[in-house]
Amino acid sequence: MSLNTQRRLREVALTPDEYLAIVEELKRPPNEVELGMLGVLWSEHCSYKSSKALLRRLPSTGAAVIQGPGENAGAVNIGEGWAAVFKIESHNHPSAIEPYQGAATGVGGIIRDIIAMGARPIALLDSLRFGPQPASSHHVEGVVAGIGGYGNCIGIPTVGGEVYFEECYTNNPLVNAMCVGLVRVDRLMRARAEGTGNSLMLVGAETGRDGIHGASFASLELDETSSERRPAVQVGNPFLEKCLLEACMDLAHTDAVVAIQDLGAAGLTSSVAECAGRVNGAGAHIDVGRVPRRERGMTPYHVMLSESQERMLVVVQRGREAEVEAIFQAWDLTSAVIGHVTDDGHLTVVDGAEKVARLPISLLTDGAPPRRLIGVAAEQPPGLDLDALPPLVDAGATLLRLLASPNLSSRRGIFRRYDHMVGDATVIPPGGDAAMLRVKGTRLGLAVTTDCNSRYCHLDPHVGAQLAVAEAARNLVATGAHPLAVTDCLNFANPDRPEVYWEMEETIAGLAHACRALDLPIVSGNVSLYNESFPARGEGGPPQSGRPDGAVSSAIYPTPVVGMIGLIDDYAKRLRAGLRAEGDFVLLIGSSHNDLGGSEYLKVEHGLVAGRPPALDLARERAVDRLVLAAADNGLLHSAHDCAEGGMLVALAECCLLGGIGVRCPAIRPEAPLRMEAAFFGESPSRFIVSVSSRAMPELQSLARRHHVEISLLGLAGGDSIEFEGQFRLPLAEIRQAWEGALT
Amino acid sequence: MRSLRCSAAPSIWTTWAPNLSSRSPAVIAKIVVTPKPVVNDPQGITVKQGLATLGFREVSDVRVGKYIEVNLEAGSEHEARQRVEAMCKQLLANHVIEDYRFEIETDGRRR
Amino acid sequence: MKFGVVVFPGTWSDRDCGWVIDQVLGAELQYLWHKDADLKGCDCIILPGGFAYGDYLRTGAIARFAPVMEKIGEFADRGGLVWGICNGFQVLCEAGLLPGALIRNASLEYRCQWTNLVVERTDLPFTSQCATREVISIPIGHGEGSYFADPATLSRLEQRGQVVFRYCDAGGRVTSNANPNGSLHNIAGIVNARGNVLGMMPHPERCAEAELGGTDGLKLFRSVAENAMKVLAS
Repeated sequence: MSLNTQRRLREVALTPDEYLAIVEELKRPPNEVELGMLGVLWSEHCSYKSSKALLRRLPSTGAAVIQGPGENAGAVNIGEGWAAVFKIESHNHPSAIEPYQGAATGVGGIIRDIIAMGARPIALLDSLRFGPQPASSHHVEGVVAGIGGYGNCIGIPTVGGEVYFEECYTNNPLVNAMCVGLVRVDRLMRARAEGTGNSLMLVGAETGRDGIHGASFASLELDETSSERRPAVQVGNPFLEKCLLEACMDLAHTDAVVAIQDLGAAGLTSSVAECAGRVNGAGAHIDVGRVPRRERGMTPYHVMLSESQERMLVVVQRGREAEVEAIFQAWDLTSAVIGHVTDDGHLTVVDGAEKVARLPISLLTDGAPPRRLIGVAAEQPPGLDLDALPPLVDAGATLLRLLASPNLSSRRGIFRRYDHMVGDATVIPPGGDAAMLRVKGTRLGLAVTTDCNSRYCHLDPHVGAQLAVAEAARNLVATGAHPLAVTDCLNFANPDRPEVYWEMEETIAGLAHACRALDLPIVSGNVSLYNESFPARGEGGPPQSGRPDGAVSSAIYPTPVVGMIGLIDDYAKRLRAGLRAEGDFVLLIGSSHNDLGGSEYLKVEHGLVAGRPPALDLARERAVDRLVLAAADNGLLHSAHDCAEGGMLVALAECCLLGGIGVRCPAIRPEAPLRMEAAFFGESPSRFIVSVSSRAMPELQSLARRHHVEISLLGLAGGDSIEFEGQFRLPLAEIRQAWEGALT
Repeated sequence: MRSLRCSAAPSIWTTWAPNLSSRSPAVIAKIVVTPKPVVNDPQGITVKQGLATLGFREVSDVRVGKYIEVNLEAGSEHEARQRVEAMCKQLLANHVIEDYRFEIETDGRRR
Repeated sequence: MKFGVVVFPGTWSDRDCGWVIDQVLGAELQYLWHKDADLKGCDCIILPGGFAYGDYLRTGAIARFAPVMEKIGEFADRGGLVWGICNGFQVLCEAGLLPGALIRNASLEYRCQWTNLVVERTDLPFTSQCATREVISIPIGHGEGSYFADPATLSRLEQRGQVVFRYCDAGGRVTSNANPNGSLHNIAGIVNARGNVLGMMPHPERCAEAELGGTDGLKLFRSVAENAMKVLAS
């Protein structure tokens, strides 16, 4: 292999072994364009070559599933002829480089995935992780502004998500965007290039040199006279995408369209290859000379690899191109026939009369040799000796510090910057457990959430992943919605390090275990690797620097973000977290243990990230969830709230703050071995705080007995303070100040 | 400042195209739009505070506006000025809240 | 009674307004495409919220030149009811159908939240179902909603009673704390001198059903439905 070839391989992030596999399959060396195309499609981001084998272990089938992984997004049947289409995706590295545009284009990309299924997007959620403030302010400000800038302009409500602050995200912030859409079941589209001779149309924005990897762009630049080097940062145009969205919705009224495919990472190359790859034996013929361009001097390489935003590939029945063109014309959008579907199983690229590239579709989409990585268990995180900790002195003071801490304070300062009301469907706004959208024209309510406590995952990736699933489910249950299906965004550090690969194995095993136990299929998702000391090459491949093996830089905690949707048959029965009426009984459902490992209490009060994450019993989780759903369905509950980070007392305070009603409780006297600090601030899973009228108590108690779930009376709703007799009494105003003052 | 680019241009653009001979030379108009002094400029205030935080205490006022570059064809500089003036009045600036000024560059020379 | 809802590229409250008119109010609904110079016999024209043409130059700056706007200007001159909501208010100011302009929020941030408004005019076709100085609760969703007008214009507006809605607290007190965007005189909505062109930043179409958190917005839609025919007949 010549030095020149080796240099080129580095530029397109292919290994010598991968190159040899290509030559063997083609029976010739690939040309430069072909090498570039294979380089991007064989990148980790597109090929999942490090994670594919593991991902097969995840459950993806279920009675409601209409579309599982492998399409632009997953889809489940929610009844009354409707399908919910949803997916979560990472835009971590672009957001680290340019927070505003990185986050904005992440939102734009996930919206197009939903549109490609023929669905109208109805909600966005964003799961965000940053380093500690104030050092991370630049990331936080840019990302939040970018999400708002895109979502607000395009008119899709941003209704939920999470924001966590943790040291490990200082250099590698995580931006995972989720979109949910609705489509009639019989109008659901699949991005399959069916029908030899059908036209391939490129619609939406014109193509520029955006997002072509800086390094490979510069060195493969064929037009040597151009000294311009384009940054890898793509700039989003939400207005154009709004027009694209409406035009694609208009397409649904014609049967001229066979399929729609988003252009995302690796642009035209991957969208055409994926679209053809879903149909046995299909191929495609593309003329890059017919691609509308934003700038001059673009080579076929640029056109095939450009990641210009707001573009879609549409497969159109031959002879009906003019109908499609007219629809895009009405929205002042360009559209062009750039090629057609073939039956030769190859992607052929020409530039007018000139041949540019010819590659088997299967080589592009499925040819990347899986990487065989080895997992070795990471060192046990530091143990936790609860007896060595100073005892809890003043639970009230601790409550105030916890509520003012970055991970527990009110998110209002963030979500009020997102339009969460447009669409007239948001029947539970952000700020509670899960948001809920009504399905207009029906009584159905669709609850949506994202969750992951990565500190738990760091301490035990298997249990941490299970806890993320359980918590997401609980958030939905707290609104009265039945958990239905999952989309996951798996964020990890560099899997070439055995302990990171082990984290991946454990995480995926944990996810699979919990999803099977709770009957939750995973219908779509995304994997983001190399979130470790800033990779120079974008999200595509391993860092190129010769870092000594095993050197730990600033690797993120394993962060399997679980996006989940749930369904309530009548949204009039939905529940909110806030207390509703004075005099109601405030109850704790579920049982408490000494679960202080990985807790916010440990971190905030003692500066520790240590111990084992809370123990999760999935059978108990199921029982507790069923009890709450049954009680909600029978109309017994006035409110319900999940107990999560910060434990019972933080959850109780949130119930009071959200409802504007205080609570009076007898003193907490935990029975041994339960410790006082665990009773107040322990993070045992499978617990809810609910409020009920005194009249509903007997029925709830018998329901709890039938479900074998423990319920205990915490106190009575009322007044304008939180009081535990003889322990502490705090005015709500003071608590609110701590809670809302932190993150504005 | 933010630069502006309008794709998916509305139909008004086409109706506006002046009737020009093919020999008209290319001209660049460099237009600056600023908020009127009487208009509150929260962006400017924020930038000023930011500069003060960085130690630039000599800064007494900051106004944040927009910079717009228009490439056009014009028979003469006079004609270019008239056309750009009309663009500013009709679209590029809002006289209620904004002032504008511009320079015309031909053959790379400022005039 | 027929409502016309204008759709510019980038408009997004069109469907919400349409939903309220069609599904909640039960009135006739006609969408009006920005390229059509025809109001199709509508009795009240709504310019809804969104980012018309991306709002890239200035909010509403490009939309005012759309073909449909010329007809809306003529319609307003004849006394027809024109109602600009959020981006629609911005378009009306740019088009000169209402005085002043909407500038960036004082916070420099987009704000999506509930606001309280005191209704200062109830003799208008838009507000006849509200009580005198009633405090209504309507959400906002905008980044550039801070009303500005020069001092002369502002005092003329006040003298003639053209301020229809002002941001206030729950008790109806007009305070700076209750002002979400830094607008002059806490202005949330104004009407032209003749009383047939209303512009407001808050979104009444987002609160016409209890499940969305309130129904005060429906009062405005009902007022219009009740009065639009009378206005045109007079």
